[in-house]
Amino acid sequence: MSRSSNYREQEMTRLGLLGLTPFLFGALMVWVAPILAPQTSFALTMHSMVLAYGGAIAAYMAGVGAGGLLGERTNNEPLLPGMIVALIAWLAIWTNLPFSLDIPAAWRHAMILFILIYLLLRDLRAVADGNLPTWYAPLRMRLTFWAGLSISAIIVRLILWGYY
Amino acid sequence: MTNQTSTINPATPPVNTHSFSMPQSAAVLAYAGALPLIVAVLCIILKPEPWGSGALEFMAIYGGLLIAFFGGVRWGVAVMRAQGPTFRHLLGGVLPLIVAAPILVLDDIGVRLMLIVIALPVLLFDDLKATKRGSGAPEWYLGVRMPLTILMEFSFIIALAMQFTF
Repeated sequence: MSRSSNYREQEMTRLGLLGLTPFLFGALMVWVAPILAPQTSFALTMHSMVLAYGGAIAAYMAGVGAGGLLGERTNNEPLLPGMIVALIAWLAIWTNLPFSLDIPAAWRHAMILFILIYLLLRDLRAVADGNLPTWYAPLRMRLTFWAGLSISAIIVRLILWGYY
Repeated sequence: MTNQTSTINPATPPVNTHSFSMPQSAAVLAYAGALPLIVAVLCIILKPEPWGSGALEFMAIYGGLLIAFFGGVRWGVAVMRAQGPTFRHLLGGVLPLIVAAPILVLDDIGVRLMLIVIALPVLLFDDLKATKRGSGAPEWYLGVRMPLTILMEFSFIIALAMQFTF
């Protein structure tokens, strides 16, 4: 592997890890904030922010898949699943649903978690098929693991508070 | 008259229809993706209950996710380049995500819509530049993106105008 491509990987890893910060900070705050202050309002604000950020990341990763399909290598992956995933993410973070429909907070996070896992599996398959670079797989697994852990911690907290 | 079939070499591989079907399927999906925005704008104008009241929020979230999605496409194209992405490419892929975050969390719907109205053409312009440099998405993709962005931009401008007018 050339030195410059190694450097690019490091840059991408750094950017990816930076992208994890809102998940990790949000999960930490959801658990720690109520210990520091008796009110849960700040913790609930943090959960809303992580939910919105998770939706943005899900849409972003769906876009990465679509962008990969537009790239130089040819493949037969359909575009539709990525679009559906982005729509589910949008549903997960849209809080003022019409017809008095409501999705409990814990389930909204669970939707984002399932989307991230689905997108990880899709990207791992793309790597195996040679449609994404090999080094991308361990990076994606690492990022999804920590994001998934953070979201799971928030889901557990929300269930303990009765938001399910 | 020459028998045309005799000119076809049986060893010639079949034409790769993928390069034709991809732009078509992308165009269909892209315009299908614009439909909810058009419906939302109609809801904002006509105000049918219960859809009318939530349509602005719907549009702001949709717009935020669209911007994140376009950033992801940029990143995906950059990663797939044979020579790998440059830092500029990666930054171009990450910045839309940074713009999308406040659109999804801010309270003021006017500011959120304003950010979308500014970000959509900027992203398109940047994608056009990248394609001209040969480091962006293929030209057919921008052929889909450009009319789509104009359509979306108009939808968001109408929503923004309605927000400030009423």
